[in-house]
Amino acid sequence: MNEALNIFTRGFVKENPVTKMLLGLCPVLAVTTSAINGLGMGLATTFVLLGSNVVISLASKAIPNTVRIPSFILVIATFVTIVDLLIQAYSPELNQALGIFIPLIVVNCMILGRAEAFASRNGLWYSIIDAIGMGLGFTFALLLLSIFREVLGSGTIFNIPLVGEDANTILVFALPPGAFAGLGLIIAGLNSLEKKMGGKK
Amino acid sequence: MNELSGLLLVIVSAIFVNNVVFARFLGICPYLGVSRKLDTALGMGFAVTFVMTIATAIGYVLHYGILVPFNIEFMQTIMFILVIASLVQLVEIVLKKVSKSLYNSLGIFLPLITTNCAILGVALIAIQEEYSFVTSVVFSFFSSLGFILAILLFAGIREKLEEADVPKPFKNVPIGLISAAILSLAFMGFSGLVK
Amino acid sequence: MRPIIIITLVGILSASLLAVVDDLTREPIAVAKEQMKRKAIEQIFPFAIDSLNTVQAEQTTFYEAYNKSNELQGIAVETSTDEGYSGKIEVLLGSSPDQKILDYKVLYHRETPGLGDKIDKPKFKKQFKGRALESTNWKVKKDGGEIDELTAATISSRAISAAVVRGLEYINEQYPKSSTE
Repeated sequence: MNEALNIFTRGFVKENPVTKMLLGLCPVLAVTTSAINGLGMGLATTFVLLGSNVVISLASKAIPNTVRIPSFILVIATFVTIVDLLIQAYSPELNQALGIFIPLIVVNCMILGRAEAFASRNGLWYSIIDAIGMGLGFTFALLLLSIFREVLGSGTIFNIPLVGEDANTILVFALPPGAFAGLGLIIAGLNSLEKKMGGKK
Repeated sequence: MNELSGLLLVIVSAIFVNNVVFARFLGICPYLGVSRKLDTALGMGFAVTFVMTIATAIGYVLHYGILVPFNIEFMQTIMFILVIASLVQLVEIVLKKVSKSLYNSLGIFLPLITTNCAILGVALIAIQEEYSFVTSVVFSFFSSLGFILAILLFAGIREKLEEADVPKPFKNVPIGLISAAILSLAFMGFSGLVK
Repeated sequence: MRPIIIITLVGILSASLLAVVDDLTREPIAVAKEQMKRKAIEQIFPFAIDSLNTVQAEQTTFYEAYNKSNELQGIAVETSTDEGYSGKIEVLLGSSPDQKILDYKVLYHRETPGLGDKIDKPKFKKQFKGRALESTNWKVKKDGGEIDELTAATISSRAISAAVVRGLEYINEQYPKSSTE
């Protein structure tokens, strides 16, 4: 049980894919204009990560080394397509909001990275936990940035307005520069928080 | 003449107004990790240009020639990524033979081009915007030039950042992102250019 | 030989799985698209819609909205312009049967947030209500017309006016005045 908890928290904190390992940054910057979009992207990615980790953890021994990466990519692409179709069918607004970044989940280096570094070498149970930990860590980072950007840039949170209709918001955060700056500030903030808490254990 | 000015619009837009990195947020990972050595960065850039342009071209043919007529558009993601992976393999093989030194200095970044979201992203955008074949190729080629512009700018800035006195929490990545923010702001100034 | 067999197998399994999922989701996806359209149309008509009739014309699509007694209450049309500040703007325009504007909704745009994107705000849209094609000078006030342009977003304002005019022209073409009065 201790091992499982370790694996889970690692994905969330110590090796958070976004803030520590800088993986999967493209969607992080692009879809975090609103908290709902960030949450949706995070969950969709977690779904793919979970699916691919499970399949690869079960099947990796049967796959010869020379075709490892292509096979992994095929598996990941399959789950991405599944989540893409599901979102188109059951949440068209999310589909419109996330756009091409849904199919782009397939090149989220975090997923291939976990498949290669963990799922292909570990059992089913641990692979599942790893996927959930990393996926939630990713989602958490997305939420952090998107709440930051949505509140400051549009004056709403989860589409609930916080300020009056004509109030001036710090628009730049809803735009590309704000995405870069916001993420930079968050990572810097987390870094100094970590230092204050005594550094890495 | 109208056709040509339309293409010119696409070109300016692809490099500046809708820059792949600063406006579309694609290719961020390689952008942040780019080498400070000019020739390595350029080498990477050219590899990306090659793959991006050809992948978009092949993707166009695949989409309109096979996926749509046979009603199997759901296979798009798989087919496109396979095309990209194969092209990157091709580049690796060719580079190994032609310029061993570049191959070595690029190291792991070469296969990582496969996961460069800019390549898949640009190919998907060309289809989404319903560009013609010629426009798609032009669009992807010049988008990749915009990518090269971005990484060159960043490679230059990185060098200065190393020597500057950056507060500890901001060291490395965060300050890199902040400078990307400033570059992005600058590129936003181009948005009125295309009318 | 074995690697090739394995990867082909993986490929076939993937494709088959996807074909199944695709088959299962085709209808829900079509339904979802319809609902999005319907929602957008409901937003621009002030009355309750009982049924919608889609008319696919050469240049664009029209949506005829009928009430319970099957009377035509409004016509919605998809229109657009390429003259936005940042390119294409797609608009859903709703007009009464006698071709006066009821409302519109911007479906797609890339105008500047905080400036040009106000083209979809009620404050700006208000002035278009009730206007008819021939009786309005569609230029912005700056150009001597009747349309009150947005501060610091003249180009976006001009573009919307153009899109609205185009929409009304589409409607006029498709429904020559005598047939809907």
